Amino acid sequence: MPTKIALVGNPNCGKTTLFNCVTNSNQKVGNWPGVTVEKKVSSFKTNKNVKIIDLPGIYSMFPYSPDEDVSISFLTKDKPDIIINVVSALNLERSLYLTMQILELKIPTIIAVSMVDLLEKNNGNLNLEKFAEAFDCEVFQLAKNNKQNNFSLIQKAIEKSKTKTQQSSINYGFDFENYIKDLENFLLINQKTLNNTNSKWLAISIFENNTKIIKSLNFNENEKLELKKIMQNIENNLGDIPQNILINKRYEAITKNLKHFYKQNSNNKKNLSDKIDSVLTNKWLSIPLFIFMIFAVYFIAIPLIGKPISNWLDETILRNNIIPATKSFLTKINLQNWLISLICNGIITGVGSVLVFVPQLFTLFFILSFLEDCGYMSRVAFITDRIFSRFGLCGQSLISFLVSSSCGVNGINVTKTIKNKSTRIITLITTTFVPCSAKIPIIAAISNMFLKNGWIIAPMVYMICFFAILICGLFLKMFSNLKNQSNQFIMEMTQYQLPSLKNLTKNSIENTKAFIEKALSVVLLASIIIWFTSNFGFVDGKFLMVKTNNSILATIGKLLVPFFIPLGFSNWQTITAILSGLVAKENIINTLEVISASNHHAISNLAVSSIFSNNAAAISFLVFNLLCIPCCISVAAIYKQTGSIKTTAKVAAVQTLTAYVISAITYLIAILILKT
Amino acid sequence: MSSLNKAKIGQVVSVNKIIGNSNISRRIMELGITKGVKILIKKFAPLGDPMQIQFRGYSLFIRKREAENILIN
Repeated sequence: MPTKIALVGNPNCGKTTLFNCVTNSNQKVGNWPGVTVEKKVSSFKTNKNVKIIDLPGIYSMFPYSPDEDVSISFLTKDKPDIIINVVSALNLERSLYLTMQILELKIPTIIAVSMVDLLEKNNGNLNLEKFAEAFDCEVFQLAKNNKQNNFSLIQKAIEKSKTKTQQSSINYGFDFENYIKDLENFLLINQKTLNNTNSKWLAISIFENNTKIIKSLNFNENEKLELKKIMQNIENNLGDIPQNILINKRYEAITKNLKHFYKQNSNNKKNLSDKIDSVLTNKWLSIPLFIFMIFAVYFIAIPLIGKPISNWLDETILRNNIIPATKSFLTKINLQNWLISLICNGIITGVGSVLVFVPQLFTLFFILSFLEDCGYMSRVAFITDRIFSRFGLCGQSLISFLVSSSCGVNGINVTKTIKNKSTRIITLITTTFVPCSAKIPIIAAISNMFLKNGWIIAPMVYMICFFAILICGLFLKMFSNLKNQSNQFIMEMTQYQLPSLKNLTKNSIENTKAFIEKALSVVLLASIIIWFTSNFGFVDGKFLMVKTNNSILATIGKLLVPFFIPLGFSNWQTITAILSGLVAKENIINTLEVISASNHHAISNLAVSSIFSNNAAAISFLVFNLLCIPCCISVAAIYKQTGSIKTTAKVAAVQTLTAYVISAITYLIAILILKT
Repeated sequence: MSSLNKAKIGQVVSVNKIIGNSNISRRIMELGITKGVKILIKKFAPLGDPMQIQFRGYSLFIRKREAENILIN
């Protein structure tokens, strides 16, 4: 049986840095069962039989989010052999609240204190022996990037895990022990247990009304009534709700003990973080600086580094080398034409289109991880909360939108960095409303149809897209089941710190890898399906390779025609073009041109425009394509972010519905204005 | 008795009570905003909300709507 070491602590305490240092970096990372929370389990570098689990940061044993729920479930159900409770020396007073609850679990624990060097730099002081004495627990001092030190901590933990139990000797007074004994008896009489969690801890959880634990104990109606009576009794005796009293008593105990071994810099002196904040959250400078920052992120990640490498991969490697070489090889070995087409135009193109994203994604993840780990992102949330929260968005959504203007796939991946679940999903849904570079040919083609005032089309549709984002966000926030999930209105503002290069690189590689893996399978499937349906069809009762007009795709297009009547462009040509856009939005105009050319023997603006019954229909067509379900790589990215096919389908449905409604309205307004 | 959302920049206030019984009230207390704690109002966001407060050696930001639940002396 492998030894399980759990790393537990507040967010931003340095757990992950420790984890990355002592574990192997090539472990498969998936999600915890049933949630989209990444599972970070890895084995100790020098001992494969020791598993280290980096649990999501928590402030207490009461969960406020799915992330925190994972940690608490693990500690009470899966039960580690030993807990390393990482606490930050800069935040000791608050961090110890969780520590007290963890010690009560009676699982062997070592308290590991990080950032002691930063504390001492600010004229603070920590006495480890007195600390260990006060809490009757082993205390270990961490040193940043010190491999030997970290390894010895793990060795100590492995040794301690053999002791099987932990003391917890803090005395709260106020008859606390008696009340807990009563509750323990109650649990004993009714034979209530929760896996291996000790009954005193369960009793304390009931006392402080930890609804999650109480629910897990599965009381029946009678037991619930009896419990209610017991708790009401306690409340009457104490004069206040037991949970409030216990929380207060815990902090009293912390404060009382803390002054014997801990001294922090006086609150009113300004330190480096305060000085930086006086610029970054300055009343006048903060917003311009924020706008500058998001453009800087975009500029560095895409035009400067990401896109040039991606383009090189796409053109030089893929188009000029791999595809022609494969084609000629397959032709040489006399492979059938349709198979060559499938491999080159379907599979290789599809797979290649995903792989070219690696440079852009890696750079994006790297920069965003930097901003997150250094502490700036919480300032972003602080500055932008007032405007954005109204629409279900946040400051980081802006980064996503800006990045989406080049490619929606990047914008979708950016939403990974948004902590709040509902904001993340709303941003995910609306980010592809920003016209990406693949949609520019459509805008150009439709604009060219207008002989006189074509220049106005582009700004106009950008504004429509912008409104679509706001309106969709508002609706989702007000009417969907996302409305009650904003729990990030209280956010810690940590001290600024320089992130570790190793952490950033590891994070970026893992995120990029995870996306590529998911995307490949989805894109492969979609490419093959679209390739098949647009190249095959029934002609004269026979099933063979055909031109687009007779393909299965066109047949599907013809079936969907009635649905698009309110939008003005209800003919099979336009709808087939929209369907072909499911693989890549660039295909839409290509398909239109190919379809119309076969009728007019030439590709021209006249040919394309003849497909639309009037100009209003063309505008409505444009708007629909800008807003509806994005290309298959984007859908793959959405699937990777949400982790479920069902949610991805819901996202696609919301986007298509928004596209439908807004383009219908656009059509009506355009008809009225143009009167043609 | 006033509430935290009405405090001014630079003020140091003492917490009297947390009202409300919801999860957010519990969260506020578990983060260390308990009776008797001294809170320093550091600043407000450029658009007026949320507010940055400092107590127990660290700082966090909280929306005025949530700060209403924190009664101060």
